[in-house]
Amino acid sequence: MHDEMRDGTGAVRPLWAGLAGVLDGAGPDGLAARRADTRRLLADDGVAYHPPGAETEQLWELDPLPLIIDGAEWAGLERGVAQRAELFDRLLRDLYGPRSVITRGLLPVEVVDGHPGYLHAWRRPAGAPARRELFLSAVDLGRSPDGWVVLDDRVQAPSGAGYAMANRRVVARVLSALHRRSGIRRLGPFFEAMRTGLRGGRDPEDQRVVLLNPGPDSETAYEQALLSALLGVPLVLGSELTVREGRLWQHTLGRLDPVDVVLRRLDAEWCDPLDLRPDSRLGVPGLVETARLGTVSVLNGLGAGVAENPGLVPFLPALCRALLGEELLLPGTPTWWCGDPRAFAHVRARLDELVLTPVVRGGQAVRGAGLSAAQREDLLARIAAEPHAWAAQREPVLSTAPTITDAGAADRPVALRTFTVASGTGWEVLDGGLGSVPAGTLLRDGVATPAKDVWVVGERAEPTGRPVFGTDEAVPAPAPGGVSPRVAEDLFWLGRYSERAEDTARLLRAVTDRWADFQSTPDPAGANALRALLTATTATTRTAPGFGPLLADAHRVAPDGPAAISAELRSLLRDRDRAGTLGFAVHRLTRAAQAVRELLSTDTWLVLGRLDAVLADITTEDASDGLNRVLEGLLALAGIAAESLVRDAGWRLLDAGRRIERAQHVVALLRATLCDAPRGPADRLVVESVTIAAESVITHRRRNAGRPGVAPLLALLLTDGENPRAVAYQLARLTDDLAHLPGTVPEALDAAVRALAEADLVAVTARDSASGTRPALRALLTGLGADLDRLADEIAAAHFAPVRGPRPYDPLVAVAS
Amino acid sequence: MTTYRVTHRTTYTYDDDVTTSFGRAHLLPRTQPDQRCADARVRLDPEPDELREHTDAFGNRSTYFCVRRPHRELTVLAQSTVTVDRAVVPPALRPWEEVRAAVPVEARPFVLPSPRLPVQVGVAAYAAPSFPPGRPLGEAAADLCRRIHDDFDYVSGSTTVRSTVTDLLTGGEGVCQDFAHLAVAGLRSRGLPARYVSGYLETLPPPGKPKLRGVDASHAWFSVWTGDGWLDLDPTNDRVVDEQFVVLAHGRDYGDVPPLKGVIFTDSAESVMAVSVDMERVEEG
Repeated sequence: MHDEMRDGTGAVRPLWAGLAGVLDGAGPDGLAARRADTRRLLADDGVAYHPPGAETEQLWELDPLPLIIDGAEWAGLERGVAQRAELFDRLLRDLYGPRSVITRGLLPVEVVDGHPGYLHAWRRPAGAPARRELFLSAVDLGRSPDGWVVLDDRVQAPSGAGYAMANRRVVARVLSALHRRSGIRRLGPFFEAMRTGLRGGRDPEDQRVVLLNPGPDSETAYEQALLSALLGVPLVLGSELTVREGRLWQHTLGRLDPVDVVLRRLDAEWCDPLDLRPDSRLGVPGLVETARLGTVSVLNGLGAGVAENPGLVPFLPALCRALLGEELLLPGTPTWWCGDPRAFAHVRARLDELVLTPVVRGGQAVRGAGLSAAQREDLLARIAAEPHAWAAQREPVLSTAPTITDAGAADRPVALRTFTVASGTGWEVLDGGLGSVPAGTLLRDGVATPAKDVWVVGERAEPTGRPVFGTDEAVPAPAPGGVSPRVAEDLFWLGRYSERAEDTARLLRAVTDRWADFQSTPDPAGANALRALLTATTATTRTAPGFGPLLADAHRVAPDGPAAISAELRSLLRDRDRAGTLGFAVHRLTRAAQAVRELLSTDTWLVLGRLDAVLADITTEDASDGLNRVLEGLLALAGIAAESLVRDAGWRLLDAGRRIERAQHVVALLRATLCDAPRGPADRLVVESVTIAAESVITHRRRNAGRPGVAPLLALLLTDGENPRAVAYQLARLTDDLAHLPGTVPEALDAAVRALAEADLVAVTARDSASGTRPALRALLTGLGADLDRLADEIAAAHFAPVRGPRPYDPLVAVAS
Repeated sequence: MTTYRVTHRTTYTYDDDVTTSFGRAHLLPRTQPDQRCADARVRLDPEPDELREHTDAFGNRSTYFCVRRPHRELTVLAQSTVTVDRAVVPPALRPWEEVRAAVPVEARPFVLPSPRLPVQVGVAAYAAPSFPPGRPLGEAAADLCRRIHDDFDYVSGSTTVRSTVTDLLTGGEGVCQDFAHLAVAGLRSRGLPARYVSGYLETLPPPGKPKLRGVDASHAWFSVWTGDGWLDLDPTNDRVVDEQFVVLAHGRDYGDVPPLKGVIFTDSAESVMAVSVDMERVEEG
């Protein structure tokens, strides 16, 4: 067995001396610390992975010890994987065109037509020019005792190049000294080559590219967003694209932009519900039609999946000679395609040594070794029923490399995914890759973890003549053009949930402070103020019944009240599954941020990660302290939004969301506290708490010193255009935001502005002599609240994606005579 | 030689506006050695924004359309003039094993399972009795066709477009699509190439009665490779496909050639489909 770090005598190979030194110097504690650093940095960068079936994203797993490969050895691999990319592109062009490799007898037709990745709808009409079928390909490699061997080819929509970049950014910091002095090749040029390849040498305006993806819940959503940023290409969902006039278009606010290139991260069958899977809601009806017309380039071609058939492996050497006139450079894993009777006979005889795998990706592979006689017969019968659908492979023994485990550094088998892209002038190979410590080698999982960074060390022997681009921190180019309705919606909600979280945190801080005061020194005024605040909290957060039942007795808190009140407070702080709570708002805020992560700065994840941790630790006992830290985080987010985002249509919507939410909060807070507020000393306490919750206590004291009462407070929080917490201020900002968006100013905004302008703030504070309530104030605030709700609806109707999704209609039922 | 004027009208009615409707139709008869098609076209109401035709991977005529005008009723009207010339039934006298042993590369894909006809339990066993050693292929295929006709009840509406061959084998009833699917799957289980064919069968009125409009229907049958060509048989009626049949399209199974399929954008929950087909003989001359 080959070990990457040590040679046969146990001596450290020169290439690995630096890393070996780090390992020796660190000791078990040092290694654990490196591992913890890695996790922290991954969390700060928000590097995430969503395992299939899991409810939420998980932190990406990365072993900080890199896999190191010598530049001279790499040159051989590079030639091999580039050859493979060219071979698969030529093969696919042939299979979807003249199919000459089949008629010439180089490839059995069953390997092609018997694989579900072969899409008849993708066949080129006779006479149509060939198109690029392969743009980005990946090859999984392992080093067997006989040398490097291909474990798997990924040509559908390969993932991992972005994770390779994310790994590098973290490992470069964890092993910064070693990283600096090791002469490692950079990853950035690959993404530049990819960008060049996509643009085909044309300006962004002339060659519009989109990254089609399955959405924020997909397995590799993080990576898709990162790629979008690295490539400067907007991330779009199928619902944001539409086919008309024989072309593909992207919906942006107020217009349609033609799309020339679709880089897809969606498996082919989901891409078009009209001509492919009818139940797909992720695709674009008519996409296959536009590709057939040649008005859009889909990369990789929708038919590329057929080349992921392991049954192809035995035929690749001959195909390579026929299509490229070259010998195949990289050997594949020894593979037998069961559709060939002689190969099947071999498989029967050697079942114990082989892994049997369905040719369809995702099918359950079976190890021959260890099967009982009955299982063996059953398996062979299944294969005999459709032999073309099975391949058998000999599992290679992989080389090992040091990996940090719970028990310190240990040697583990390693594999490597390489990436190749058609840059326009030729195939460019990523100088590095996605290393992994795979659990099994041939069980064809998705992304294998833990991952490893891959260091290719040493200058290139010959200059390639390709442009050298910046640093590893590839500069994200702003995505050209406008904001799509989906992004608009997510940004709007990001704004709303950020503000909602902030408002809820302030309110809860005011309440928990008052609750602590009351518990230490209970007095009737304090009790009344507390009651008013608790009631207001339930109303403002829309969490009824909430505190209501606990306050049923008009004069005292019920005997079991304190415990129940504490429990409700805890729920309002932390229960992320309950709408209206702080936990819920932060959770939704995070989800909204994840949905548009390609547009947000990396600092966002730093803040969101911390926020999550603080919220997880918060208790009712020292809620104030925890809430202060939550508020710190939320203010940092607001700062990022204010200082780090371009003032485009997207930012306008983010801001509009924040403004609407804040205005609604102030209106709801005033309505809940002042309309039915008790007279007397408690009134003052309530007013004070309201000003605290509305973040206006300083201004209020300064301006209205010695003028207690409700009217000045209303002036401060409703009509004061200079107070950034006042409703009038929010309406002014909304007017400005909406003026920068396409479409007319919503009627509801005018209505709210008018209502405020016409309000007599002294008159509305009058109490009804019988009930002691303030009906005029209630009417004013209720009206304002309704205007704001309507405004939110009008913005949604004008700018967001329609809820309506595509639906297949039943095909005609054939009826016989 | 017989010439028909075929009119195939499909109307969808929705209970709410459909804002956009994308469709794919296989409603125009293909031209092949025993069938010629003239002046065929698809029309829609409302007018489509796009209507385009191409020849698909199986040589069928495939129509793409898109209607962007909000509508509650969509009519797809296909009309064509087709001349069929099937006076001679191709002989199929080679033993079936000999045919199986020498399938040409163009026909081999039709031996493979297909999306709607994966390898299914019971199919091979059902087909086996029709294939004793050395039997001429034509005889074997005709026997399979007759057995399907005898063993299963034709019950209109008993199955859906999503029914499987297993549903037919266990339920004992189906429609022409199911019968054709069973025959195709049965032939493939013996290693023989078989295709699914979509088309029409002329309905003759009872003696002395005039022919009514709209009584014809879309139909389906199967086609088997004989070693020299393709032989079409109709298991629903236990007949050799003759000049009363018009071929629309063929493929691996129904999924390759549905007469009409589509994707709509709507809040409508209910839709009703009505189909009428007329095959009118056109006098020669």
